[in-house]
Amino acid sequence: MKRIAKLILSLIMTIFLMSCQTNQSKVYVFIYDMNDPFISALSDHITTIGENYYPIQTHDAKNSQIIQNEEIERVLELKPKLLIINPVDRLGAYPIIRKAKSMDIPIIFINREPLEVDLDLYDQAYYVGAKAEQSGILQAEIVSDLFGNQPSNLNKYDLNDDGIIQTLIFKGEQGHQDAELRTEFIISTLTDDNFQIEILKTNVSNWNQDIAYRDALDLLPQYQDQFELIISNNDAMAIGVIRAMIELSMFVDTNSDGYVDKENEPWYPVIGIDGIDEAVEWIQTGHLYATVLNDASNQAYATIALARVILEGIDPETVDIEIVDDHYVWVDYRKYSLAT
Amino acid sequence: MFKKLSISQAVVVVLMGMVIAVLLVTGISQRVIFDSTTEDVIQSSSREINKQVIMNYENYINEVINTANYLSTQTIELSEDGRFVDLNSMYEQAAKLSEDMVSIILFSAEGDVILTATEEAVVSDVMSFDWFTSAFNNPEIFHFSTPHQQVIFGSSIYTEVITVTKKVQFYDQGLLQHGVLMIDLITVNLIELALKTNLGENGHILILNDQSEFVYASNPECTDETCESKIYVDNIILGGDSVKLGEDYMYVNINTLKNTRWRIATFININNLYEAKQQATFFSTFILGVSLILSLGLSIYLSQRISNPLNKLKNHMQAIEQGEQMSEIEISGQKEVVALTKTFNHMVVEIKQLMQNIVVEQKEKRKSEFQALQTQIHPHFLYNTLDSIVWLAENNMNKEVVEMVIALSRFFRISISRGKNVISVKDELEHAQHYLLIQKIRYNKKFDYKLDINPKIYEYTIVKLVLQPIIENAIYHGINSEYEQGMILIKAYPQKKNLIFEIENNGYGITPERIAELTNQMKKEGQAQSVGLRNVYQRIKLYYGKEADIIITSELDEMTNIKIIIPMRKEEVDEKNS
Repeated sequence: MKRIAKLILSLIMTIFLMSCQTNQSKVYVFIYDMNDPFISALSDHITTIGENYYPIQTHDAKNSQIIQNEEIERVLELKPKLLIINPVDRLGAYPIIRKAKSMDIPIIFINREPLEVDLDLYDQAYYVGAKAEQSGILQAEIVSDLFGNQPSNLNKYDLNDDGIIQTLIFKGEQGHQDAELRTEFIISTLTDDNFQIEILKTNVSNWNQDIAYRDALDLLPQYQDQFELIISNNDAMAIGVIRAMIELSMFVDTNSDGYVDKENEPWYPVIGIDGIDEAVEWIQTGHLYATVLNDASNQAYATIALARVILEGIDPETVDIEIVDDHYVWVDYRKYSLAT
Repeated sequence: MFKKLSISQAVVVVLMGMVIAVLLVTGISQRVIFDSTTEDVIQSSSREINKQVIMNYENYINEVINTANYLSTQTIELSEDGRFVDLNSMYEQAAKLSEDMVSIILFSAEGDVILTATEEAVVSDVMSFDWFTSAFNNPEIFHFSTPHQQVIFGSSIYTEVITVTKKVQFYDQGLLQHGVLMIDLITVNLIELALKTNLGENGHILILNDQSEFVYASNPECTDETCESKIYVDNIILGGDSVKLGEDYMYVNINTLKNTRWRIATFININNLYEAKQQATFFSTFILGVSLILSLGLSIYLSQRISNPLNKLKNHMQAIEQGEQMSEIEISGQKEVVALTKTFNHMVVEIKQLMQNIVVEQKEKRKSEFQALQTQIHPHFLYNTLDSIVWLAENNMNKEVVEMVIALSRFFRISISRGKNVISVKDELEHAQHYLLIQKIRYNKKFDYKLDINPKIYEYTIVKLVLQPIIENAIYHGINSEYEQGMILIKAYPQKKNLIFEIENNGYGITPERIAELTNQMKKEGQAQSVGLRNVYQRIKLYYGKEADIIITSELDEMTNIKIIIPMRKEEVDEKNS
């Protein structure tokens, strides 16, 4: 009896839901892992902004491509109007794109960029995200500002005054596109601007705060009195490093005012990327010098704007986005520090 | 909608409709529940198996990728310090640790071997191979080739391998260089991984790359595009579905394998579950059938019980409608039917009573009408005859007077017949003869008459005074000729079950229009030119009904014939009939 009751209930629910769907096109959002603070924030922004236009339903893949594939498969059966996917495995996007193409359902990928060959499979496949290299470029600008903008005449932050910036790099997952590009572009931009950079060590900490913390505890004493700058591919690793540095007394709030003053207290510049909430807090306490804001709300705005362009056929210009190369909507990073 | 159906049909239709509806709803819902349950079981179990397979492969691939990542990190770090010897031993160690990695080689961007963990020398130009060039297409990712014979070592090693490549960086004399890290994986373990999982009879695994080319197929016959499993995978692309491969029901699951751009499709045999499903279908169909037959039988029985007494009553009523004897009927059955029967019986008694009353009334009515018609004759004739007798006496024609008076006396005797209405044909004919005689004398022998009688008919009976009025007409209308002798011919004979009397004169004759007019007037009540004809017609109709008739025929200038037809009857010549 319970089963039948359940069945009838679910039947009624299905009919109800189906009638809802016909009234308004539902937009489904697939998130790779809600435990990722940035992604979680991005998802919240998408829901908040998107709900003004469409009902939004969000699925969390818990960092499993298998789960995400299953979720997408199930949603595709409902013949949705649009999918917004933050893929677990960006290389695994192509079957999803093919499947969506076979059903003529547009897809917007966010935050993790599928291969260009895959996006090219389908004229209704899009990617909204930030250009990884831009974050590296902005990090380079922050460094340039910090060191006085004169490559030939570095300011006091060139501790040993040798005209070369000794740098430690905490890198994200080896082989990860963002990690590679961010690392590549901060160095190349500074080099192109005629700064002399010495990379003391590139340490792979897999985006992870705790790994970065452990690695830093081990690494920083080795390079004590050598490094003048710490570059991190993301905020999480930067925070892990800061925690280690506090432990190693490389940051000391001598006057206990809750703020580490870079002018007269022990301090080293640490620069992150992402602009997560925790990072903002560390910036306010002076530990984190700056971050590059991977602006979740801007990305969410662009994502929903693109959704409206696709679903309502409105002109991209009216919602302030630009579709580049038929598939891409690039969202700019922003520098974020106390100065800004 | 049931208006055209009998009660029993309506009952059967309604009952069966309800039964079928209930059976279908329960049957279908049960079936849906069962199906969705089995479908769920099939789906979740085969998805689990698929996940297991994917995870096995993921672990395997992750190991390779971790090693490759470690080597690429070490390559850049150690090469920077020029520690190529250490690096080389690291490569060799990695190759030794993993039995799958049969060769690990670092190539420069120009295809020269920088480091190698393989004793075999590279003899080919690697830049011509896809696995080498593809590393530069997407520098950030690992490239997994399809299985192939590794031929770069010349003839000695021909194991089937999958070549994994990635673009890496290394320092060559302090300069950062681009290169390609290549790892050859023998496919044996990859295949073993596939065979580890129990996929049921004919269950198999397909691994396809991003171009949908075969990386591996665990069923050996699946080698090209025509393979049925491959076609299914190309259609489904991603996800799960039930398919039929040859005789086998399979659940196919297609998932991506992380980092590789491969898709793994597992085909799991689900025949057992389909058999269970079929059994369930058979069983529920059987139950459905049996319940249908049972309820059909029951509803027919029930409807019969209701409709049978009603039908009996209906048949009885129809019999009465078709003129059968009105009678009461005993019917047992449902309360309403018994009550109906009782009412019907009561009605029958009433109707019988009413009918008897009507018969009596009708008889009375007929009698009075009849007598009224008969009395119309007498004065009419008596005056004329007496006029004639007076005329004869005045002319001293005594003999004729005597003849006339005798005939008149006989005539009236028969006419009156002691109040009888029906007399023998013999008497009727004698009566007609007396009348003819009287008239012949009266008309001064202007006409003559002839009788042609079949004596067989004498014994039958006839309503009295039928012939006389017709003869009277024949004389009046037929005997006015001044040129020739009038002739009245009386014929009487039996014909089948009837008696025929013909009265014919040889007068002018009458036109067909006139015949029609006469016939018409004769048959209607009211004013008529020929009182006698109508009188006779009405009387024989009243007495004999539709069997009696009068037919008028005529030939102009020749004759007019009145034919009276009455049924052949021998009735008691009794006053009661009057």
